[in-house]
Parts: sequence; structure tokens; C-alpha cells
Amino acid sequence: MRKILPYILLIVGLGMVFFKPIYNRIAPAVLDIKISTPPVIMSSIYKVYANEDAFDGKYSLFKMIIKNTSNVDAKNVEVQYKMSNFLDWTIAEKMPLVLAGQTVVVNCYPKFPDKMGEKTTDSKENVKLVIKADNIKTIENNFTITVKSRNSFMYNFLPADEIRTAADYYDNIPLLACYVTPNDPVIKYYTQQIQQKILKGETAGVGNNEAEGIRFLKGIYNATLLAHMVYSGTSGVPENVNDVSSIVQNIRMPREVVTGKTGLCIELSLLYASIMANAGMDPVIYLVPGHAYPGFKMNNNYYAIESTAIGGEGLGGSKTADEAFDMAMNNKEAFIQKLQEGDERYNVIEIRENIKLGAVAPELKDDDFLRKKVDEIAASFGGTPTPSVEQTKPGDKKDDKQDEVSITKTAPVAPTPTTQQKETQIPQGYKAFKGVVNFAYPADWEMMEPNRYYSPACKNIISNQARNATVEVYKFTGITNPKAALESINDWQKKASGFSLKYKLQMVEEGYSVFKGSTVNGKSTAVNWVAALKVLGNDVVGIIVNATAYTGNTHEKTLLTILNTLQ
Amino acid sequence: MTVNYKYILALLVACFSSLFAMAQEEETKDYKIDMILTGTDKGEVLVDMKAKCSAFYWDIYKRKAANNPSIVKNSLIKSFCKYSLTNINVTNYEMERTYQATFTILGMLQLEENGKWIAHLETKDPDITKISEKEYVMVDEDYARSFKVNLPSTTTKSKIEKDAFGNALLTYYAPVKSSGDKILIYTGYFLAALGVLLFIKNKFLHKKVAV
Repeated sequence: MRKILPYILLIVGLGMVFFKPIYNRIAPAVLDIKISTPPVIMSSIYKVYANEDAFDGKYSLFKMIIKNTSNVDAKNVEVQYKMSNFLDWTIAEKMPLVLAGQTVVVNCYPKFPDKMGEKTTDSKENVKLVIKADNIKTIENNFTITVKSRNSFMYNFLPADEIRTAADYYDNIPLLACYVTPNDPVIKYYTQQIQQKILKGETAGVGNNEAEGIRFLKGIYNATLLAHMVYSGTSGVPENVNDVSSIVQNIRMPREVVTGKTGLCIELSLLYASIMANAGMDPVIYLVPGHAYPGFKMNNNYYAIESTAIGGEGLGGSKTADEAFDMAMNNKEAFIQKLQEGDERYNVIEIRENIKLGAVAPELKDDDFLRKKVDEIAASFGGTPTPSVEQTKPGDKKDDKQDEVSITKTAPVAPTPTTQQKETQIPQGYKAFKGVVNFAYPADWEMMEPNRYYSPACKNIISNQARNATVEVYKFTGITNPKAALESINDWQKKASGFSLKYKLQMVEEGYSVFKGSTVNGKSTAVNWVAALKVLGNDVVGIIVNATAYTGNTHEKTLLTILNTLQ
Repeated sequence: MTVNYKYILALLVACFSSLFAMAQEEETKDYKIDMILTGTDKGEVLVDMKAKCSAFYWDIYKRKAANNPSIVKNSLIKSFCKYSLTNINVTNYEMERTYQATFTILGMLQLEENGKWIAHLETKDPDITKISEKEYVMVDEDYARSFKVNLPSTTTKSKIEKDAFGNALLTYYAPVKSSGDKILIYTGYFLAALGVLLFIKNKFLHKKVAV
């Protein structure tokens, strides 16, 4: 026994040392596989799928969760995939080691060929998967998936029972930026035609001149008007794919909108965004329930235009660029209000931001036929944009004089909006104020005397019966800058009441600088207001319309009406 | 231990998304997030996150998500869409205007054959401080967020590196063998050594006695 004991100990010891490595070599590992796939592949976003950093890797062909359920480490695990008609065998991931009990996740970001961006019909494709490792039995799997045409846009990929909020329902909205195609040769060509023939030169993309940006926006509108482009509406069609229920909308590429001369609200918005992005501007698209309209951002101010106001003869006519701009800017105020209230159905798509996040447009080739179509369209650009008939929407109450005004405003886009003059209109139930500035205010509002809390520059105060909405008339003698004028009020308020002003320039319109702001006491807001001030000789004149904060947006419409009548 | 700025922001922003979009610049610091991320030797990341909100944000959070924790759960899953999340729990502390989310992230850490673990920090220049071999602290003052990162107890050679694109990586070594494996191996070495000693004793000491 004494003789053989050392041998036994040696053998048992070495066995214990080498048991696991030898066992790992001969015993197989067991991998448990779970695969999740999107309901469809949208070919319009095929470049997004290729980029694992795009939108934090949210869009993949499949996601595979691999759990090593055995006591043995899996070595050199490799996941390969293939898709009929589009992808040959490709390695999705190689992992040198998956520990016993470890879970790993493999996301597949395929590089689809550019032909996917030309896809105009849906198809069903088969995806094959193979999982190999040194010490596992090869696992094979497959699934079929619908590849949508490049014009089909699905607003979300979430299972119906996972949708909790409006934002969930429109989860894919940032991907709309993939339909913005500034590098499309046809769009570049169309943009050049607008720059040459309508704008006769522009600097909107290189300078930070907001008036120039507005001129560019109106120029695009006039181009669509001159080309007799018409608005054609359609709603998205609800579609169920597996357990996903989503709106699927048919969206044409901007080049198709230009040459087809018809567009939905979202298509027109994407066309505007493409042209503006091509010109170096910072385009945005405002999304509201059932509608979309384009605009741009400059110096942190947002502008908008109602691109669908081109209407069409069948729709009762179209509006001028100025009217379309004013209409959208008014709507934008309500939009911001909704946004601030946290209504998730209201979204603003900042195109450049989303492109940075990975929303890259499909590769589009140059096309001589489409260029010729653009030439035909651009031949009309030398004329004057003339809205066919005043467009009337149900519920609009307009007198004959208003129609006359809008029809006569058919001059080409002016270099700056400040040169335009507006006809005085007194809305029903309002009366005129004539003084340092002219405007209309509700007939039942009353004149009040300014008290010590008002800056000496305040000349008149007109308030409603409840004294919670007011229009104040100002004349700042010797001040020649609207911002300096507001600062003088701020100084006065701080001294008189301890309150201060917070404000931001919203736009410059017809010579008036329009500021939106609030009067605050510490962190609490007392009054929300909009100031419209302009330089007149050596003075600044204008009005401030305001409402106490607790009234919310009750007086918004009235205050906007007052502002719209300001001269 | 991926400390992903984008994900963490998304977590809170998911609840307040539209508010961030426009005209709220002065409000962006009205919350504070503290996160503790603990790595396990199986490559899991245990997350304990507390978000203390201002009254303004708390009102919005309550309106949108406080009575429907699945909204927070879904936004977490969306934020960490590359990985797999389990054990998600959300607790609200009304008195402190704070909500706490705990969850486990699977598949976040990459393991190389030699026992090197890699965590992508998803940023080029993180403000990260090494407290000890197993402890890091990262601060994002712009968004009032702090992250405490605890690496596994067996960690060695932890450091911040850069990948080919200049993005920061937190790398460390942790043995991939379990403690059970080690006991088995050390016991094996001990028995083998004992066997060798006995063999020597039998062979040489007995011969000496015979002489």
C-alpha cells in the first residue's frame, strides 16, 4: 500500500488539475437561442440597418440572445446569416468564449446592397442562420420577413400590447429623415433652379440672416406654386404584421414629388427639407395629429410654412407664400404650446440631428429623364406666382375685402418681409386703437391708467374685464434697439416689484421683432407675454400682449388676433 | 459596466421627450441622477439608478409614468435596445420626488479569450476617475448625472483605453474560471505534490535505512 499510495495521489491530483480542461474539450456546450426580429424591413432605411451606432443600434435584422445553459464554456462561437436575394453568408458576430451560464446578445446589422433603395414593391425574404462553435452541435435556424418597398413607411415596430403612449405609436418618426435627400442629383438640380430663377441668388445656408431664410422658404413655396404642384391627401393605412399594429403610409421620395407635381403634407415637408438641407440650412418638420408642415431653424428660432396651402383648383385654390407663412407661424405658436404641455402627438423632426443619429437617405442615382422633367418645371419659374383662387376651408369666415387682399398679394417674394404692407382689418367684435402703433382689440376691453409697476415707456393699457389679459402700448424714447427696450422694462420691473423678464426672440416680421417671454418671480411664472417692437426713427414702439400664467392658453387666440392686426 | 451617457439620458428623457425639444433650455438641470453599476463575473451588469426630480419634472413624471411603471420599463428596454434586460423594478418615492429603477443588463460586456472584459463608454472623453482597481466614478455635469462603477472582486489591470474610432473603453481582467474550479485545481496540485513527496520518501529515505 505504501508503495502504491504516491502513485494514487499523483494520478488523482493530476486528474483533478486536468479534469476541467479535458472535460471542456470533450463535453459539448449547450446554447439556448432566442431570436427576435422586426415585423418588416423598410428598404427606405436600408443604410440605417448597416450602422450599429444609428439610433443606439435600435434597427437590426435580428437580435439573438444566446445563453450557455451547460457547465461547459463554449469556444469560438460564430453566428452567420444569409438573406435571399440580398445577402450572402455573412458573419454577424464572433466570440472567443461564452462562459458556462453567461448570456450574450448578438445584433445583426446587415449591409444591404444599394439596389434595396430602388425597391418599389414588397417581397417576402428568407433569412437563414447558423450558430457554430468548437464544442457545440451546429445550430441552424431560419425565418421569413417582409421587405417593404422604399415608399412604405411603418410608424412603429412595437407589439400592440407594448404600446403605452402616443410616442410609442409613432416610435419610428425620426426615420422620416431618411426621406430627406439633399444629395439626390435630381433634388440638387431642382434646388439650383430655384436658387437661380426664383430667388435669383440666396445666402440662407451660409449667413445667419433669418429674413433670408424666410425668403428661401417662401421661394420653395413659390416654386411649387409656379409648377402647379397640387396637394393630394391620403391617410396612412393601419396594417397588422405579426403582433405589431401600425400605420403604414405610402411616402414618395422628394424627386418623385417634384416630377409627379403632387404631394401629401408629409411628402411636401420632406421635399422642402431636402431642398433646404441641400442649400445648407437646418430644416425641421412639424408633426401634428394628421398633418405635417415644414420649416427651418436658425439662431435657435423656428420658422414654418404651410406647404399644403398650394391646394389646387380642385381644392378651391391656393394661398400666397406670405399667407402660407403667416398661417404656419400662427399654427406654430399653438404647436409649441402643445409641446410644452407634453402632448406627445406633437413632434418636431430636426432633420440634421436625425441624420447625425444615423437616419441616412438611400443612394439615388442621377436620371436624365427626371432632369428633363425638372427643366420643364423650371421653365415656369420666370413667371409670377399667382394663386388660382382664395382657398377656403370649412369654418373660415372671411368677408369680400379679405379675399381681395389675398388675391392682390401675388407679387414675387420680396427680398425682405419688412417691405410688405398689410391692409388694416378690424375683426368682428374688435375696435381700432390708433396711437404710436395701430392695432385692434376686443370691443369689451377697457382702457386703464398705467400704475407705478409699469415702465414710463408704457403709454396705454387695455385690459379685459377680469384683468387677466392685457395689451400694453409702449414708446421708448431715445432707444433704437427692441432688445434694449425690453431690458429697460426688465430694469424697471426689478426695481418696482422684484420681478424680472425672461424672453427670446421668435422672429422678425414686417419690421417688428417679436419676442416671446414671461415675467417671473424666482422660479414661478407670473405672466406670459409676447412683445412686438420696432424701431421708428430714434424710438422703439410696439405692444406687449400678455396673460397671467394661471389662465393657461385661454386668451391665446385673442392675443394672437391683436398681434395680427398690429401695424 | 458600460456607462452609456446616451442611454442614461434616454431613460429620463423618454418620459419628458417633447419638453426637451424646444424652448426649455433653462430647465435642463432640474433633475439629478445617481447610478451604481456593478459587474458580475458572468458579464452581467446590475444597475441601481435613482432620479431625483424637481417639482416641475416630478409633476410630468407622475402624469406620464408614475401610475404606469410599464412606461418606464419600456423606455428602459428601448434605451438599452442592443442588450437584454431582466429583473426590472421601478419604485417611486413621492416624498423625495425620486424614482428608483433597478435592473440587470445582459450582453453588455465583451469577453476576450484571455479573460479581458471590455465595456464601451460610448463617449470620446469621459470625465471618469479611477478610485481603485475595482471602482470608478464618472460625472456628467451637463446633465447632473453621476455614475459609480463597481467591477468584480477579482478584477486586475483595469484601465481606460480607446478603440480604433477614439471612443473610450473601460477594460479589465477577471479570471473566467469559477472558485469551484480553482479549489479543484489547487486540491489536485496538493495531492499530486503529496504523491511526489511520498514517492521521494519511499525511494530515498528507506534506502538510507537499509544501508
